[in-house]
Amino acid sequence: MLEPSRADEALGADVVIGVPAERDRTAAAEAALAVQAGLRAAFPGRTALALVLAGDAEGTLPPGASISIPEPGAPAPAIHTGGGSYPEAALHTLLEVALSLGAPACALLEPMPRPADPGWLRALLDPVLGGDADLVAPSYARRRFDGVLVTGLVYPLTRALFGQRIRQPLGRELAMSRRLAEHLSRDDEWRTDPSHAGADLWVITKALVRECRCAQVFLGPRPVPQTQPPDVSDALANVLGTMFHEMALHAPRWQRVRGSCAVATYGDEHLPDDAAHPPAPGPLVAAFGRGAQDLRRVWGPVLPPQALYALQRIPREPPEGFRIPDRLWARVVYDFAVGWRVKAMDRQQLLRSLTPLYLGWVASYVNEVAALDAAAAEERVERLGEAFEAEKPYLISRWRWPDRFAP
Amino acid sequence: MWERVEGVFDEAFGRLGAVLAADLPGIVAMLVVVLGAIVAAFFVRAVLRFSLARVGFDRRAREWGMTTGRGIEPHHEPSWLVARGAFWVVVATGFAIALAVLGASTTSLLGLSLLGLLPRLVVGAIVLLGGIGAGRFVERGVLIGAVNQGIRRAKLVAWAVKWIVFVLAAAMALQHVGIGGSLPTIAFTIVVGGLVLATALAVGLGARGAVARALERGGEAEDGAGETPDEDRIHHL
Repeated sequence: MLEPSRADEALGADVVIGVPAERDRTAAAEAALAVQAGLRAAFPGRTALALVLAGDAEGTLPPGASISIPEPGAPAPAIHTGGGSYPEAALHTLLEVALSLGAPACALLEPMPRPADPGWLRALLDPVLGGDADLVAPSYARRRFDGVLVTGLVYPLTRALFGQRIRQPLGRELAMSRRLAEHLSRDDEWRTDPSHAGADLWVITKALVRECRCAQVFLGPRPVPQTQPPDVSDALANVLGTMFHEMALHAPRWQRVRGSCAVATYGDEHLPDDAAHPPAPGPLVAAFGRGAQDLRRVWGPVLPPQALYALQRIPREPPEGFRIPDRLWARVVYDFAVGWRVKAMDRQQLLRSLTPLYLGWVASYVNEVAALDAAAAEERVERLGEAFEAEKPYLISRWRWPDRFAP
Repeated sequence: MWERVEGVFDEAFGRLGAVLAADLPGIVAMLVVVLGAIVAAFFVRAVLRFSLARVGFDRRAREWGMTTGRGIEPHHEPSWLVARGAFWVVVATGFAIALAVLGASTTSLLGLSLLGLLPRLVVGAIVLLGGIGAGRFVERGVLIGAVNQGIRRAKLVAWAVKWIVFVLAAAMALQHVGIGGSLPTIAFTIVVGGLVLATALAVGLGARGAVARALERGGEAEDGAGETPDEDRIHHL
């Protein structure tokens, strides 16, 4: 592997793009070649490099080895290997390579087919190359019921905690400046907590905590739909585990933040037409009801009696009329964050027990947004974010004095 | 007359003195052992309270579901209970040793048998307590998983799993202590075997249709709420 100590040497690359080889190295190589061609078209005067980042736990491949792809005559992209499991460890390899080459900008992109127009690459990288942003998160045009975990939890929580409104913090794709890359590569968590280091939320929170300049860019529809988890509770536990971990690490920082502001936004937001019939809320409300009936004793050590009572009182019939007030939902999420912090129970069990409540919130969101167009739905999401901000003093109080609020 | 009475008393006190003189070392030794055991018990209690507080025993007990962590009196916390239990175990051990050093044949036998039983009792209690903790932890995990999978009788399933673990722990503890010989093992085998047979019969005879439908659905949740409902229209990530 290239030595990070050689970061001061500018070896000529202005942009380094990493494409993690998740399962299929050939697909990653094809994506890297397409990105390389796009880079040449988008930045004709700059030196750009697209790499395949692959794991090599056995150490059989030399760093920077080439791999062959089935298309005859096509040039092979460089493949850089690193330890650890991929794609989680891909970021670390990318940072090492980008810093070694002295690249002012680098990006981690998913291995998927991209539009032939290189404009999206310019849109993504121009804010970093122009010195206007340290972190650029792509924001894809999504339907109303895409990414509801981000809509209902991750976005309002990151917004309320760190005061910056990045709409899609779980985009799995990032562009970053050399300054941020240096910060990230020096972070102790690569060594102390490798299970969290390198995740997309980890990068976003590190950038927000270090007060780096963040931006988002609208890139239109995503070429390939994001892979969905087979089990909702797994995804919930994974995402919230990282989120609460970062909350605990940076508590002194986020407790000083009040309100939120919009981050620099590039590109035009094209909200997609979503005329499809909305999903039925019945199964979601039933899942919530089962949780309220059977998990009351599990929620007891986490939620105060007022919250438990308020959840029990929500009428579940008819399912189309089911609503969870924004402030109650915000408090529930904050209560679970405090429960995670004080280890009110096993943390995995705690996070998984939130699933029925989350599905209940999804039912409420579906009911409220079903009749709205995409723009009105976004306004509704903004109101949810404001509710999380309004309830932040409650979080701070409970975080500082969990026993005082203990039921 | 009075000379004979005096002689009787002299002989009686002489015998008493001889017996006391013969047993006094044993009594003194017993008192020393008891006092030493009490001091050692206080020391063990203090060490346990300190070390259990350092390793966060109460928090771990709460995480495992052995306690709720709420409304517990300060002296009723798990670390206190363990320290107090260890205190009385050391005191009881001291008494058993004291009985053994007393020297009398019956008390020595009693003391030795108590000494032999105590370690097994302690290990049995630890096995039982561990089983209770594990049972409650597994119960909570099964309950949460079953609710998330949309199983209607989630509480019943979790309750059954918890009691299987409890019964297993109790059988192991009894067998270790040596109470009942092989009876706990046989009883446990009969209970678990009976449960499995009853469940198999109930499912086989009473719920053939439901099982067939469940198999056809490929093990999906009863009404699909545990999975992503309307998968084509709701994307969580």
